[in-house]
Amino acid sequence: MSETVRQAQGGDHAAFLALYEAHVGRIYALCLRLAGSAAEAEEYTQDVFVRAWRRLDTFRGESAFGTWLHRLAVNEVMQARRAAARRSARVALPGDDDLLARVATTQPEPDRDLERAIAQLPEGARQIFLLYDLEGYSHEEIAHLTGVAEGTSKAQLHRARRLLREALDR
Amino acid sequence: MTHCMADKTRLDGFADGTLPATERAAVTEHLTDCPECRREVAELRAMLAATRNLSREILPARDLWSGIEGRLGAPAARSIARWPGTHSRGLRVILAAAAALILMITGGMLTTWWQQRVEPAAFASDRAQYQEAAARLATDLAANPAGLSEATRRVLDRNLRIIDGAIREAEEALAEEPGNAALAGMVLARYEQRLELLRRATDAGRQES
Amino acid sequence: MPLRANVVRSLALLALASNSTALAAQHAVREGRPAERDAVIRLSIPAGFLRVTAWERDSIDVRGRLDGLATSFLLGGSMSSLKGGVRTAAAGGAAGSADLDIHLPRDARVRIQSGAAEVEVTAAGGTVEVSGTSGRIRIAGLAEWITVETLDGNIELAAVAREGTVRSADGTVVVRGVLDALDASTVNGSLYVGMEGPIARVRLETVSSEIAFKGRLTREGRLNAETHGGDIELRLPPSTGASFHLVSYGPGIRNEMVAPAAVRAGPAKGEWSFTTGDGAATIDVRTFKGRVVLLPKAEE
Repeated sequence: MSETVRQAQGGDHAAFLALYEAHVGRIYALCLRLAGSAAEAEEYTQDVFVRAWRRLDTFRGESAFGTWLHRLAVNEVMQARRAAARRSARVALPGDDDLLARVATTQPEPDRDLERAIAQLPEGARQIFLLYDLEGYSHEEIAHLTGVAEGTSKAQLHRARRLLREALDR
Repeated sequence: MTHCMADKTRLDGFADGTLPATERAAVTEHLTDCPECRREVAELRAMLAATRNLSREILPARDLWSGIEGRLGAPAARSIARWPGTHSRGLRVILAAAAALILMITGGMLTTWWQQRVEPAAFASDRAQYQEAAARLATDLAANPAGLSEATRRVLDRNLRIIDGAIREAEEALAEEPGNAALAGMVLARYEQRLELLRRATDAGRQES
Repeated sequence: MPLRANVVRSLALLALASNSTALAAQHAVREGRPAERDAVIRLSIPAGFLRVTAWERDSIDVRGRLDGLATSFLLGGSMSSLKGGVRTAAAGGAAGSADLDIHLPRDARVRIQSGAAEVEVTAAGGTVEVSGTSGRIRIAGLAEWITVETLDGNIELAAVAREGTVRSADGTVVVRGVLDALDASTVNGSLYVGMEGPIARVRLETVSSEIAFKGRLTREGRLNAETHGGDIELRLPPSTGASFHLVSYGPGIRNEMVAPAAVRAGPAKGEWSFTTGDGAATIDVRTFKGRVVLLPKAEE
């Protein structure tokens, strides 16, 4: 376990700031793609770090800190999305592409078509595609994180890949 | 075009390497005869490779740390103990002064904002007016901190720092190109934003009290 | 619940509290009154979560929970002018919080003081005004005008209205829908605007971050966008006839929308002034450190 993490566990804000700076890009990218919205991704990112701070004492160094944080972020975002879906029927108008505006200003040109196609997938399929093909989680882990059955995870992945290929072919 | 009857999910598994070895031979054999499926596997592999190559890091458009730091371990924000009587009168005076200043300044400034050019002669006096108005509001706020909760005070300070940094940069550029009317316009816009923020914070103070 | 009973209960709780640590008491709220279809309704909540939804009935209905010490929900007024608020009995202490679900008549004119609460409003007519200090605010639906103001929080509008006015300081602003006029500003945060119909007046302002606008202007429409630190991206129909004034003091402009021959640099460094089509609309954008990017939007 790194010294910085140990210090953060001791309550050192400056050490936690160092951890934030080292990992915010990774966590924000994850939140942005999973949520599909820059404004929500900002809120999720903040929630993730606050949660991480509160649960720092549960990190024992069995994995890299980044891995632990990443898992916590996936958990946090998936839970939040489920709670939000239960709680409010948010009016989402077509063309929800502030995600794309954010991505477009930061990513190289060749990736943008793929990012756009991913962003336009239906939410469930998109999340499973991102978790499996981008982030490398197994179907078993995804089932655990999202609450869907493993079989559903596989079916959603297949569907996402098919939809993506169709979108990219156009 | 004839559609291949092959099970597409098996192609999926073949393309990403998760198909069990026992089934791989069957698929490989099919691929030797089926250009459609070969193309599909190739496209899928290319897409997965491109996906794995996507950037893992994207920085947020704005600084998020301040919103995090405020939530680390501190108890819920409490309203600062209030001074009875005089405080609320003082705040009313500040608000009246702010309103008068905004009217006086934005009356003239409103045309400037929409215009493309800022006349050099007017610029210096406009800027001076803004600076004075903002300084007065800031002083009044500092003298009456009880109007704002600690959380609001922090937000105000944070954002004032951002605006002040922007003002500094714009002023430096203007100092090097004093004739640049577009730059002058941007400098004034920053001052107007600063004043607007102070007015809104004062309003929030009234709401909180 | 009658006012007197509420006061008695609040005092009783206060007495308990003064002898012990804060009780995590939760009490349910269930209030309702008839209200005129276009009643003026004022609501206040210091913290927590507030969801407001328009419905077909000529009444207001409030349900939810109050947490914390000695808070109560008081609802009063006439059928045309109602006021409802979460009250904290103890002065100088932490404000209580509430989780409330409120239904209002469809043309109500609602004004919300939201403190530190998170707010969601779905309107079906009427007007919406929300003023808070922190917490995310989301407004959806249909209204005459919508005004949202906070200091620390993201604001999202997904609505059809004549006018939208949005103010944050520490927060990102996202606006979708159909508006005749939009005035949105923040300090530390981006602005993302996607309009589904023509808009006559747009003013977008931030300091630290980027602005992205997608939509089209009415024939004599005006668009002003101002930022210090970020890019400005405009996605407009290529057939837009406008007088453009673009300022990017830093990196310059990237044009994929207008015929290159039409773009003229100057008069000053970092400035581009030119006209397209009948030049009837006005597009005036300025960024100090960012680029201005013009992109074509597909015609509807």
